[in-house]
Amino acid sequence: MSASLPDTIEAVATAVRTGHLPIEQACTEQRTRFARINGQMHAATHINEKPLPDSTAELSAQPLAGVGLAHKDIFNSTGRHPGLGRHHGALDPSVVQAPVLQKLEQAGALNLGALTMAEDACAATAQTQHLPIPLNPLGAHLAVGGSSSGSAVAVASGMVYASLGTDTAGSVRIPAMTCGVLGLKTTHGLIERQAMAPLCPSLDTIGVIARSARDISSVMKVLSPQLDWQPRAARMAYWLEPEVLSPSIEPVVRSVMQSYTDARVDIASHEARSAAWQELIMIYEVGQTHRTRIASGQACKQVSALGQTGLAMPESWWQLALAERKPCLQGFMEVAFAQADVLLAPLQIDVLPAVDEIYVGHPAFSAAKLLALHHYCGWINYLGLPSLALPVGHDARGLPISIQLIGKPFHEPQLLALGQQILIDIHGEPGIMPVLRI
Amino acid sequence: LSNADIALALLRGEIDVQTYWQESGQQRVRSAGVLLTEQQQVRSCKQLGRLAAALRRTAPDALLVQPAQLTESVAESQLAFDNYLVSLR
Repeated sequence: MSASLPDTIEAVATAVRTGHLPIEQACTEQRTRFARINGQMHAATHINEKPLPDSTAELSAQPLAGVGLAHKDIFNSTGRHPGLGRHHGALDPSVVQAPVLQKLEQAGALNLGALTMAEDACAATAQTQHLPIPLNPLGAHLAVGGSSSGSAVAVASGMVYASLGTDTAGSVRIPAMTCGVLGLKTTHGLIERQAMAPLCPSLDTIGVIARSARDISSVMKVLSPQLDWQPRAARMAYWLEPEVLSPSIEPVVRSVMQSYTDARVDIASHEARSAAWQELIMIYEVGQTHRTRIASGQACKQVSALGQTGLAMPESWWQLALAERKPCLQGFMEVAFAQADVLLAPLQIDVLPAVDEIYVGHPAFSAAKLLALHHYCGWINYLGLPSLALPVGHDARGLPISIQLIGKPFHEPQLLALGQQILIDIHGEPGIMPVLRI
Repeated sequence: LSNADIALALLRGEIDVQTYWQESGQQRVRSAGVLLTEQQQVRSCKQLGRLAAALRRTAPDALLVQPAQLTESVAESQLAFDNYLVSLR
């Protein structure tokens, strides 16, 4: 990544801990790189210039010592309200840092800044009204998915090693997919969401975007040390609906899946049912979360469009959707994980879309292509399962094709171990490197 | 009919979305302090109708519930789900 900065989180932290890379140097170099690349990518809404503590010895001994991270602008940080894709955030000395950011800081990570996002985390693309739209490092003509758009751009372009995002209906996995990096949506309830702006409390999860599963693991071990980080080897099964995927990507997806397992499961009816309940909860809760902003006309278009319907929706529908959640998960577990620990499932339906195709108001805009981005996402949020978006091949233009690995609840370590194995099988060591093709 | 009866009737396709809107939906939106344009109202009705149709197609058994059976509180449902998730750890 640079003359003295290693490629992985583990390597940076080791270099700092062993004294080969002084934490002050790591901080200076990463801040310089963050600002320089951001000048091209427009991924950051805030650049953190907080000085390191006077004594850095303790910090340098931590598991993420000197590792530069930056996160979706949806979390309270010390002395700053998040901008939520509406603005650049507001300074306020009374604001206390979100516990999730606090944990990373205590583990030695450097918080380099806040990253742009779709307004109120309520869109599948990076398009915003009030802030510059981040560019896709794979090519400026390519769309960036949302809502954790800045996180995916910052990771793919090498501004940071990893970034926290949030995922309510694909908002970590979609941007990761469009930028050719990895995105982990965590198990419902695994990571504390205090001091994070909600969209749909029943579905919101915090996730991690990085260029390798190993880097995601480094962050997750700090956030969820209680998980079993010595996972057993995973038995795999796959689910595929060949007729749904574009012929431009289907052979690659099928070939990769079948190269890892011949155990095929059919979960189509479970997916469809969970997707319908998820949409219902999302519409209802967007209305409740943003009730005041909708009433005052201050909500963005996406929030208004969903939330107005949510406010009209009977509460009993929402009650029913929540009551059905446990039986839906029970039914899914019986089918998907009867003989397997990890399910290989589609994520991407077609080749990566261009800006013109999915940014509203552009000449070739296609609602179908926009909706296709989260076709395979929301149902997993309803079931509360962890899922890892993973690039596993390339299309005829050389652009990434991603699938997702779905795991059992709280089995993130197993998911990440398998994800890293597949990543190395396909991309070789050291995996995915930063790109800047703009 | 109670609001819960009307809501379930819409889910099961026993009444159309316009009837629901007149009987209940419009009032819910107004009580939230929101005034919808006609276009916004049409869009909301379409979304509700589409959702109800999707659930009739994908979860018909779940829609046979009686209003009185929906007494389990939201908190109880959430706890049951969370506990089940944890049991799968």
